[in-house]
Amino acid sequence: MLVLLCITVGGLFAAGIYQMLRGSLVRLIIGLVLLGHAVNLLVFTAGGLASIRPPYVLPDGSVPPGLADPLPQALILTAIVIGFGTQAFAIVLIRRVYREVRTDDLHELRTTDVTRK
Amino acid sequence: MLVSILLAIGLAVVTPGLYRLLGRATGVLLGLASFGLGGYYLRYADGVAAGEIYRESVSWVPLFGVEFSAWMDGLSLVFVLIITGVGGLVFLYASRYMQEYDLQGRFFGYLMLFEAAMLGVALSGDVIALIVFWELTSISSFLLIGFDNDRPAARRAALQSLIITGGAGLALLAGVILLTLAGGSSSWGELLARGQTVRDSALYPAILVLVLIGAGAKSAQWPFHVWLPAAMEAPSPVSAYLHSAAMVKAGIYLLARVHPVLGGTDLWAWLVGTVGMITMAVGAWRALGQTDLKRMLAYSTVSVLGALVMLAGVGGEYGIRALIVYLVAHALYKSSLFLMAGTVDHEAGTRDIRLLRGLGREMPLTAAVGLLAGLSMAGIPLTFGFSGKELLLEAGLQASRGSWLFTVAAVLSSVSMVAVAAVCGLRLWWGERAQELPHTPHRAPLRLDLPPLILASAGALLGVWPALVDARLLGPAVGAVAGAAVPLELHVWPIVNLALALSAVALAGGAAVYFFLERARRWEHAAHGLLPGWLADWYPTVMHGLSDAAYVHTRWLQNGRLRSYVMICCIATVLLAGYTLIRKAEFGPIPLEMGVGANLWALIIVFTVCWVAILLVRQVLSIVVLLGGIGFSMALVFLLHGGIDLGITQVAVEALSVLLFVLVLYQLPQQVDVRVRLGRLGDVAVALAMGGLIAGALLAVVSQGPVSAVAPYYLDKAYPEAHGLNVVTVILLDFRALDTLGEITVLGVASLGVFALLRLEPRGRPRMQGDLPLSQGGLRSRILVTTCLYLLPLLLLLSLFLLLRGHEQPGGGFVAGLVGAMAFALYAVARDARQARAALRVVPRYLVGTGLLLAVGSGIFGVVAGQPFLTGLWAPGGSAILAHAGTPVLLDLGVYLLVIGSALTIFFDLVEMP
Repeated sequence: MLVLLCITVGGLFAAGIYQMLRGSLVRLIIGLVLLGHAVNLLVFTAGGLASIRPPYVLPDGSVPPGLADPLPQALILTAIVIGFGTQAFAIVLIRRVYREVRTDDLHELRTTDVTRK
Repeated sequence: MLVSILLAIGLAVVTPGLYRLLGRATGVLLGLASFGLGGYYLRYADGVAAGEIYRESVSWVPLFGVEFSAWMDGLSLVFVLIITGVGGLVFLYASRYMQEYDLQGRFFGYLMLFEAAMLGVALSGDVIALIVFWELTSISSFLLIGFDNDRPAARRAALQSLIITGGAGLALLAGVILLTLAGGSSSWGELLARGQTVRDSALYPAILVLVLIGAGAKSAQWPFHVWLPAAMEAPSPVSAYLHSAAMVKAGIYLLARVHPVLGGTDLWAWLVGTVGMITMAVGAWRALGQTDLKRMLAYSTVSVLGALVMLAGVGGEYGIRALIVYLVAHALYKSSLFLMAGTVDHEAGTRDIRLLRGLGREMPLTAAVGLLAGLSMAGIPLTFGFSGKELLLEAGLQASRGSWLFTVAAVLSSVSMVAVAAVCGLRLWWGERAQELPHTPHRAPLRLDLPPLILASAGALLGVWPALVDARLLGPAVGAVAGAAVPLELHVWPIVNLALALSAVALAGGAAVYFFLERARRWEHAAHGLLPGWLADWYPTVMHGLSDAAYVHTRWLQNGRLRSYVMICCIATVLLAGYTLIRKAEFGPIPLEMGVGANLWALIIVFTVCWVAILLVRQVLSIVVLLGGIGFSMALVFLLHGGIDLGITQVAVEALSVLLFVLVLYQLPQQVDVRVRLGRLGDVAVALAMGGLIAGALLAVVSQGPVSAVAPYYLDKAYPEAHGLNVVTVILLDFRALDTLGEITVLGVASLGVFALLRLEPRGRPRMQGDLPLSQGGLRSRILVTTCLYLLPLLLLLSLFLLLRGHEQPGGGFVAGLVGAMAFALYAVARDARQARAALRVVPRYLVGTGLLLAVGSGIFGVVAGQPFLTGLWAPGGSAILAHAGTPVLLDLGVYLLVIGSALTIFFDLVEMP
């Protein structure tokens, strides 16, 4: 199963990068979103899926055996929320670019001078 | 001695202020200060003559053994006396000459800074300190050459000299570092003792070449000499000081200084000697072709500098004696000639030697300067220049290597020197005066005539009374360069020998060239015209080449295409990391059974279907739905593997994201075509390679088994130390609280960025106004509107609940904040943004700030208690709502407010935009 997840992560990466190479603003956003998911899943899988028990200690403070590793989870949790913020920023930035230049084609965006169409 | 350098630097710094106070007297004052410094150094003369070396040092970079140290021996003394003596006279001259210029305070400051830097070069007891002062001379020279900075020619010349001397300064730095490595120390004292070790080291050739490049560029050696004639754009006092007496001699100083360490080998003799010889010949020849008096003097300076470098290369007793005597003689006559040229320019308004004739009647004192200095330059007996030239020819004859070559070159260049000297000493003053001069020449002010006259007279005086300096000042200098005491006794009357005969030949030849000067000039022009352009003037060729190369490089690597950037990054990563992965990674047995069987299969099928579909589908809305599918699958993967908090966070974010996408993508093109048709296969290959690399690396990691060494620590300490059962939340709020603070800051900044992009327009453009497109469209559903009314308080209650129990059970500030934001977002979609804002009652931006302040504030408690920032502090006991009260709870509240604020800042602004 672990192998399967590894391949899934690789597949998400490949899909994200392929989208970014398409030369389209919208596809660029999609690529970024896919890459974000890929990285989160990468960290999660790399943490080792040793257990399916969530990392909660018992009310008396004792640690039951076989808990999942809490550290990757903490890292991913903030990454998810930040990912939302940066994605929103990227989306709005690209929307703004699109409004200024009226093209979805990244290959036309090669100078810093805005020529309004 | 260190104090004197610091004093000079301090003087340079206050000079502009001094000028405001004293006005024109500043130059005179600085001149006197310069003489004062010279008098101070003169006190060391007796000790130095007795063979003493004075040292002072202050530790500077103790880690590398670098000291800021001063070193005064015979060589340093001669140099500091030239620097302060000529410097003082130049200041006096400039106080009158610069009267018509603006910004004189700045000019004198630069000049004083230069003098300080030169003193630093001559007195440094450490090569690293020397480099620092060396670069300071380059910089002050740049400022002085470009002083008339409204003339493009001056700016160009200044830049050229900076690029050449500064660039070569880098070579020198490299050379000096290698020298320090080879010699095991950076101080002169140690290096001089370890000359043999350095010469035997494998680094020796590299050190020699690098030091020669640095010294050669500074001293205008071929092929770097081009900057010196161009530098004649500088005001004449600068030419006299920097470009004849002081700065261009810094390279000579360096070669003389390192001679005991690096000199004496075949490589040294041939390399240094040949460079000097070529420079000497090129300078002498090109001097004949000039019509501008200053440029002619500049080329003759190049020639003399070449001769000095050649002498350093030849070495030996004769070579070094000649080096020191010729150097001093040249400093005296050439600086007076440059000052004279300045006076002539000042009075006649031109420097063209074709026009300048017969000025002697109007300018008798200036003529006396020209004559006296010219005699010395031509090497007429009873002048100091004669001693220099005799020793030069003698050194050529006595050279152990390449004797005849050096001698012939020296005679030929002497011929040109004689001709140039005749122009300065005779041609300007005798004969019919040309009528079409820009100014009618008058007798020059005394302050313009006196300084060069003093310099020229000093040369004449030393010619008839060499005993004044030979054993006392110059002898110790020769000894310092030779590395052993060398007797030096100059004689007044010429001794009849081969050198004298050669000198006579040079005089006769020079006279002949002088009489046929026009023809010589034409020949020089013709010969120069035969050279291909890049050879005749390599500097613009090289600079154009550089800028072309930069252009091509930019076109290739910085072409503005995102696609090629991504390509380059991916290919480089795949190649580099892939190589390491294949060569170094160890794959353990891959644990097939780990994870959760069949459920995962189903999920992965969903994943695969979604992303394959994304690649194919062109409808934006369908893509959004598919992205949502991937996001929710992610949440399920987390949930299946014990990540409850992750799962619910992912669900909340996914819900918000889908809303966001729908709102924005609505305004982007609906059909996204694949623009790049060519190279599609290549893209697929790159993407697959990258995916394969990541999958492979991940497999290599997981095959080592679960290895987290810190997990047990967090699990064990979560309850006893942080009073929490939910270890994920505890890590976020307590163990890694600083990370969390950084992360929420990023989130806050991203939301403000969105606000800026949406709300702020460039100046002069109307702000975009509009209302929610959704509210205009038919998306309003009565069911949704009604449900929302009840959903809002319910969701808010849920979010508070999640916030409060986050320490014990799934929840915490992040999830709670997202759910809270969701409540208002849904309200905005169902009704409209204005009503949602009204329901929130607070500007969401303010929530971002409040949250951040709360988070930072929660950290300050720790600091007040004398512990690190963000240390969790807990109050004893508990309450019904909170099991435990402490600063992490405050941090959690900050996170909660910030997440709500950020999400809503983004969301409301997007909804309201047209």
